[in-house]
Amino acid sequence: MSDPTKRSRRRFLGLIAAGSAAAAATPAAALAQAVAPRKRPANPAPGSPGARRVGAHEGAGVPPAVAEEIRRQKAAVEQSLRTLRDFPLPSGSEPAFVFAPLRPGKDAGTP
Amino acid sequence: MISEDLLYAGITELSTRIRAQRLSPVELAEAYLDRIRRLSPALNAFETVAGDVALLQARLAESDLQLGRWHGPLHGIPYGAKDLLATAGLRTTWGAIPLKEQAFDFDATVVTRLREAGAVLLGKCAMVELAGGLGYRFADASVSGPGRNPWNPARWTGGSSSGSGAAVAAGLATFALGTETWGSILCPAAFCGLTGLRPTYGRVSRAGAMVCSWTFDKVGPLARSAADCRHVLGAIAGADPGDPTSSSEPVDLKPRRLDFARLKAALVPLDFTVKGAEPEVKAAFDAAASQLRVAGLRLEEAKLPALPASELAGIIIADEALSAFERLYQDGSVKRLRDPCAAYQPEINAAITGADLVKAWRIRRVLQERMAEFFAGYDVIVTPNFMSVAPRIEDDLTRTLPYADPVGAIGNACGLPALALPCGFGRERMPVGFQIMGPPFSEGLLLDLGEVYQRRTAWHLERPPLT
Repeated sequence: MSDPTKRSRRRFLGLIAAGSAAAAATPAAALAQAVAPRKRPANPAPGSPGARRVGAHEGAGVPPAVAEEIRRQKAAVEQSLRTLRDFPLPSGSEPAFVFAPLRPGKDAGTP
Repeated sequence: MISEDLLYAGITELSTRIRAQRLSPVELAEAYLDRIRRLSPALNAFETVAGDVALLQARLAESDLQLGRWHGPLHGIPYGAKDLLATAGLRTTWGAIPLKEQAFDFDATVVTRLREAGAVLLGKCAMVELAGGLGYRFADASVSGPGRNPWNPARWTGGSSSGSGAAVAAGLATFALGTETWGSILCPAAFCGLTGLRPTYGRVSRAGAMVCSWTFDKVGPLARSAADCRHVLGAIAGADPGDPTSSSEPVDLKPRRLDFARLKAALVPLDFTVKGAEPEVKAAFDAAASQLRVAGLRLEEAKLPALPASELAGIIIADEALSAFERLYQDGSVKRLRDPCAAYQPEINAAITGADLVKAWRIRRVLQERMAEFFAGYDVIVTPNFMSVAPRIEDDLTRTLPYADPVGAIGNACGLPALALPCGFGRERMPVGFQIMGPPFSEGLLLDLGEVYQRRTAWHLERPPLT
């Protein structure tokens, strides 16, 4: 692991999430190429027409076959949720992950 | 002139010749690049062919050998990397049209480790867009087009590591890296007649790999034999400070002579009366189980714990993927994906509450505990892989693969390793496979069993009828 260009997974994810604008502001300016250099439009405000276009199919001119597939997938999610909600668990049973506080200066990779 | 036989040879044979300087890494890389140029376009195996990188790395491998520096069994061995692994200077498209020009200036840890082991990167293998994280119904949901199966290009390779499967099956690389969130290594292994290893979650670093689901993603090899998978896993496994979920569990993959008197395997049958399942696949699986019995393995029919594994896996993956690909929704580029429903996944999954997600995590814990109890009684599980052969390219996958995947759900939800092995042919002489799954960090045992099976059979040596 001697490659000086290697980035931690957290750093990698940060770059992806930040997109080109934030990456260009970092000292490692070349990392701006992490994502295609394209201006990102402002996020649509919740409830705005832009928000409706991405994420909600009604009124978005979706072809009937796609609308039907969306309905099918929604029904499958709802069926899964019914199964999970009906599944009995002991009160206070633990989830399959463990939260651990991170000490200052401690590498995130070695909890 | 390098023969086609050599392009289909295993790592041990190639490595022996390379180390003895009877085979030039440069000539080997050139031969693969020539074959890629001839065959890959019809199969959509590679999204990016890295000829210059490959020849540079091959020349370095050759000069190191001449200087007496040998980096191990992968020295000079050409491979392909799934196009969601960051590679400095090469595009990394994640299989998605809106990201087709994406590039990173660093390598994923697995790519670095393979380079340090002397392996030669031929290019980036095509894949289903976003590894299927936002769903897909058709094989063509990829910037590269549909993954076409070398055994019959009118049929699919499986996904999401579609190009990795096609490349190895067509003799375009000695091995390839794939990833699995749920099924993406085992599926192309089954459909393309390959040996694929899904490692234990955390066994292999995911640093520099696209995130589909933080708690489900694994990186592993697709190759022609269990022996080859062992070589590759040996090079890429181990803790990595760049990936906080990578495990510090020691990597011990030395082949061991199996003491069958002490081994007990659970034979988990699947219901082949369900829609979409094919009797030819069941017959091939039954024959594989018989071979393992003849080899000395005690197989006892058993049932896996009855918990809603598919449901919890589906809910957790859906929510993790929506978070991982949030930017595509924020900038609207999700609408440029091939799957028309991808843009509507937030709506499709809107009924999932925070409490539902936490409950899924709590059931996941119970499932882990039940599987730990299960493995107190059995060393491994032997079970079919996919219950039908590769569907046709134009098929609606929800119709042609309608059956559930309870073993895959449990295995991936619990982060368990599995080895996919070819075991024959089904309809239209398409490959069929089965799997051996084990407790966490049992890859060595799975590979030992895989090698025992492959010493007794020749399915892994079959080649598709390509010219």
